[in-house]
Amino acid sequence: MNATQKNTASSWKQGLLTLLTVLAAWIATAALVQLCRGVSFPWPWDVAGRLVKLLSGQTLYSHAIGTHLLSSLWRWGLGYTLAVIVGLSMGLLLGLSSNLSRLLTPIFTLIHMIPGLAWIPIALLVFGIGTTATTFMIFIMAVIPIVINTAAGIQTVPPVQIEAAQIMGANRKALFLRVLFPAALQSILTGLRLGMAGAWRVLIAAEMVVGLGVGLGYIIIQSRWSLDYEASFVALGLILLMGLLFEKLFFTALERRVAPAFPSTERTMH
Amino acid sequence: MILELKGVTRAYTHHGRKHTVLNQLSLEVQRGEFLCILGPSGCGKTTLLRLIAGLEPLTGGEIIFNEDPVPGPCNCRGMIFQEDALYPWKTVWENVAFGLELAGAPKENRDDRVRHYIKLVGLQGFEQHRPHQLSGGMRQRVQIARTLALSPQILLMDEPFAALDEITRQRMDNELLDIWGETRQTILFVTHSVDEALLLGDRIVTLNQGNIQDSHTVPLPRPRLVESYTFWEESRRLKHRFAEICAPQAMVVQHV
Repeated sequence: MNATQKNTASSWKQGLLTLLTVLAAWIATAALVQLCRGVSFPWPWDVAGRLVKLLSGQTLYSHAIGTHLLSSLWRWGLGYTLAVIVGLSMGLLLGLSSNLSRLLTPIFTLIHMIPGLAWIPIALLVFGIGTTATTFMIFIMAVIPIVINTAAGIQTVPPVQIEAAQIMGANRKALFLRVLFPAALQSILTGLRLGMAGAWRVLIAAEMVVGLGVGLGYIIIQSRWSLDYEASFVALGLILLMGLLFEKLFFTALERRVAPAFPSTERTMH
Repeated sequence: MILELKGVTRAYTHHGRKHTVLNQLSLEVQRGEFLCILGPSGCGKTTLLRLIAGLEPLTGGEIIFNEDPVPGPCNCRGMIFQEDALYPWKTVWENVAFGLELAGAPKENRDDRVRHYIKLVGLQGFEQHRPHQLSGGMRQRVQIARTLALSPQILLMDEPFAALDEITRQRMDNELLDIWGETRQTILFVTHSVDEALLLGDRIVTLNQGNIQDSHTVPLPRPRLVESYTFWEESRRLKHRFAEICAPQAMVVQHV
């Protein structure tokens, strides 16, 4: 077996182990809750059964599960894409201009502390009930970590790397494209990743203001009132699955391209 | 004469107080000369090199390089930093090629030069390694190769081997002498080690309190042997002189 095969095999084993741990913790929690509180906590197999039923055509709150998933995915994708575009440009600007950074960084740090739910009144006041408000909430939760980490990535490039490039004849454009940006790339990736997670986390709050009875977040809100806990677990599982898929497909691929350059990530990959 | 410093002054204000790092310093460097700048920490030797490199503005005076004042950084003056100044995401090859790419050198010519200078510093076989896979000494060699590849007219070296262990440092000193023997480049070498200055330099200037206190032409013929009696004798004499120049009472920081 060569090194890559070995790595793949061991990462499969690792993944299986993680899955088993989650299942064991779930079963233990369910058993404990039933024993101590006497209420029925959905078992993993109940949730799986429900998922199968939903996938084979059962509707939930008058929509197919696929519709719920797709509409959430669409809102998330829209908000996140906007956040990536705005966040990267804003972060790069802050990283390059120390005046702008001094002015705006404290503001972004403050905004970063606002919890997702607290954006509801603001989103409602500014945009009214509707998709715009939802997209805004996803956007704002994703954009802040992207801005902060992109700016920090640029600001923490060692001065000696900049000066060495200047001595070797780099003009401003070359300095940015060939030194500052690649040097900041790892920090930028961290920001994109945190932004992605933030966008998913705010989904439930964001779908409270959408005004349409469709979406994974909406299922969770609704299920709380109808005591349909299995359905909320299905929605939660789908949110996690989407996040995981995106993480594996997008970030792992991106990081693999950047990784050999950075000793820390390379070590963790071994 | 390749470089002339006339009344160079560098001062900066820190918390409302004016600190003069270099005060009315004058110095002439001949083409092909290996000049060592010796001084205790904080004497302004790094600042002096940074001014010559064009990385810092002058407060007063003039720096004339090849008959023209220094307006800013230029790849005609190469600088080797004490810190690790390589790009961690680039391989050894890419690090050495970077300056040539910036200069717009054609690919074929570039590859030849990169190969030549990697070989010159003895790093063939490590072209595809990244900096974090190399030892400190090897990383400094990459810095040297990358700088030499641009054929600078002067090489500014800021305690390039100070962070290395003693044995590696001696080997690097000797390799630098070999390279200098081949290229006959003008070198300004900053160090705080008397022995290193004595092994390398045609001339040693001692910097303290922001000005040159002493200029000493090394009488030893090359190649110099650190183990020889004449070297030891010269080293002893110079260390005594260095200690006198940099005596503690003279080291009071000036606030002008």
